[in-house]
Amino acid sequence: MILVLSQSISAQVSPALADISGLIEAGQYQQALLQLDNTLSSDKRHPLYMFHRARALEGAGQMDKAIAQYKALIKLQPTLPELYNNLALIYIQQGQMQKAQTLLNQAMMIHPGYSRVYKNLVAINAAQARDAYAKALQMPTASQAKGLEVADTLSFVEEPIPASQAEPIVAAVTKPHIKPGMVYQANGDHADKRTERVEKESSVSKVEVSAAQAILLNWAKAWSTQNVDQYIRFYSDDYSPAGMSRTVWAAQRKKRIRQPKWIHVGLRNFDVTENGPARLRIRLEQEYKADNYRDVTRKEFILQKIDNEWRIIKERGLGYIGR
Amino acid sequence: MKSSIWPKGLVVIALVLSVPVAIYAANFYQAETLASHQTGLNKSLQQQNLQKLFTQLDKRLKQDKQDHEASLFKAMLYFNNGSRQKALSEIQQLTERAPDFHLAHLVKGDILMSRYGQVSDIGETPLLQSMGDEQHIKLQQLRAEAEVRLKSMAEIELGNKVPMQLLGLGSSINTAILVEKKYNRLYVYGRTSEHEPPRLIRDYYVSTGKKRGNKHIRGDLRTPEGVYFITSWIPDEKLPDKYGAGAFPVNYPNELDRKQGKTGDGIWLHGTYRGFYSRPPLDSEGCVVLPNIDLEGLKNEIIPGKTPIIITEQANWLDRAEWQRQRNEIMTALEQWRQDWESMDADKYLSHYADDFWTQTHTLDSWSARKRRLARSKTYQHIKLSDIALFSYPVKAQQPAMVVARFRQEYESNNYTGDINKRMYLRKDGQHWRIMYEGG
Repeated sequence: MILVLSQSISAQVSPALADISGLIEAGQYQQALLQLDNTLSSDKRHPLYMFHRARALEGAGQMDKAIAQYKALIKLQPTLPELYNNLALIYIQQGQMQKAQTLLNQAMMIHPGYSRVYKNLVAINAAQARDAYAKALQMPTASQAKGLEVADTLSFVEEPIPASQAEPIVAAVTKPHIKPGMVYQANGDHADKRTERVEKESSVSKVEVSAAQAILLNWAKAWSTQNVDQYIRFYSDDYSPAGMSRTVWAAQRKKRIRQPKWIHVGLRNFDVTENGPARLRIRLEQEYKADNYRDVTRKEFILQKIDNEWRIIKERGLGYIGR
Repeated sequence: MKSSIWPKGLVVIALVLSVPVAIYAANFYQAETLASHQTGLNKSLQQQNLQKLFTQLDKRLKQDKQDHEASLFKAMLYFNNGSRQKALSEIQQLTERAPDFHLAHLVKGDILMSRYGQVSDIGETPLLQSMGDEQHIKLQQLRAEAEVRLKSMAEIELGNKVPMQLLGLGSSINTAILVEKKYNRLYVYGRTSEHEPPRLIRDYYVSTGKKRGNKHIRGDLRTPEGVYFITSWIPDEKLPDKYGAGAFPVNYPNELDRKQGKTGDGIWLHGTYRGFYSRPPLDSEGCVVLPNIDLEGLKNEIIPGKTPIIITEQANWLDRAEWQRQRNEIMTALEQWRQDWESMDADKYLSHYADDFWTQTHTLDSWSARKRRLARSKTYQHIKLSDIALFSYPVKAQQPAMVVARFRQEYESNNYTGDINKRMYLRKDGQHWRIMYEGG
């Protein structure tokens, strides 16, 4: 019986159901639900009917009903990974990561090549890892899982991808969204001073602010070109993070900076405030891309003017930005 | 000095665990790759040995389900052994139970990321490569904590051994604390019977002074080494947040420290900022810092004014026979002193005192003069010693052995009767134990 139904899924899509799919795509969930209620009773047994109903319920915010509908459908059609996938995404929205993970794992067992499930698993894994790291290192914010993919149809149209080829894995989690013009590139040619914010009575002039920003852009450039010696020079001579000697620190930075095959660091949305005499606090967004990883984080720098030169005396992450 | 009761194979894995780089090895390298890294490692991953470690950890958790370290180790062992799902479930439960255990969160992140084969050391994942330095420092600190915790599990195997530092708790001290700075470890020992070695009740991870070495002067950020006593209890509400659940001040500088010109004070055994389960291993200004939950657990065992706390760089572990021998040697010396005192032979009595003997008010000369004078006024003396507690003093290898004795002394003579609690420092000068200090 189930086998017959499975085979019939993609073969017989009634026109009415296709319409409903269109309504869901358009975000007209109430309309879709009304139409679903008015569907021929013969169609109501169709898995696609139940699938659309679940999606419409979810869209309309009736999560409990949507969950119940997916569960009923999974009982009827236990071999369709899309169902596990979509139900998992509802659980993710509700913060029930364990349930979501279990469902996605089940989906992977049913159809190991279904790339959407794999991507989603990666996404929630990475989001959870990120959350764990943020907690471990006491960063204020952690991101939600991003780039999750809902299945909108019940046919296997996806090209299966082997898990090992799905790289770079972590990049799927945040797709940095960069508006042209508001981006500080590491080469510093087109600095946008839109977000500068230094008090008028400040002892630090606008020129100084641009100079300080230029320093950070050059810092990012040194990082991007993986020029460790130059990179280190942006930090004050006595820069030695607590608990670490400068030598140890420098060695560590060297290792980290040289590790990736390539790096590109972009800075944007500078927020500059004075932080004492000849001292600036600059908060910004850092877009980090490398062959193996990319992310966007908020960072804070304290720059101090030492011997007529702006040097970094403090640098800390304020958290991941989910985009 | 230490010999292990662990089977050889187990020691090998234990040593491997103590090298941070190899901690997560099994999760990306197969066993054969590992074997080429380090001879004998393959053998060490034998199920049977791991099973023993798990049994030990389960025992710890059975004794105290709040033993978060045991839970962390379990997760790490599962992970090291390639059981990712078990590791994840263990660590997830742990982070729910102990949401402020930052090291557990870090390991959780690693276990999650290991799915993609990207973790080679604790926190060594691409997810952290773009972080600011402040986060890198925290990462370093958490690694240091993981390392010293694992090291203590791997290297310390006591079996039936007892610390030389605790040569007897007398009849009134129920528990004694021993802190081993090298392993950032605090041991709680309980009295069994008066003449038998004390029994290990529980051990904890602690943080100590930012700088290694023995404390000498105020502000040197070192944790003092010596025989101390807890003097009082300061509750949470009377303290700044950084002390957490409360504090037990310690009598640093003690009589010997003061004699040696050591300065500083405020060496406490205290808790941790709320929101932080534990602190990095070398993090205090000289205090011994416990997680709050452990301090709370320990609180009932400590009696201010009574509970000894012996702080040493490294403990000396003795088998029972050697412990008895060392104890008997000092008990004999004390008994000889008592008899010679009772005999009213001032020369014999004074022969027990060291040349550099001191008290709060006396040097050896003034003490001898007074004692000789007193002896002449006596027609009889009865002296009884009881409740004798003996603590070996932490000394460097080339220095003579020292012991702090604390006991009840009941004195009766023709013209004076009095009972006091005495504290005595004894030093082994050549073959003889001599009294360096005596006080109430």
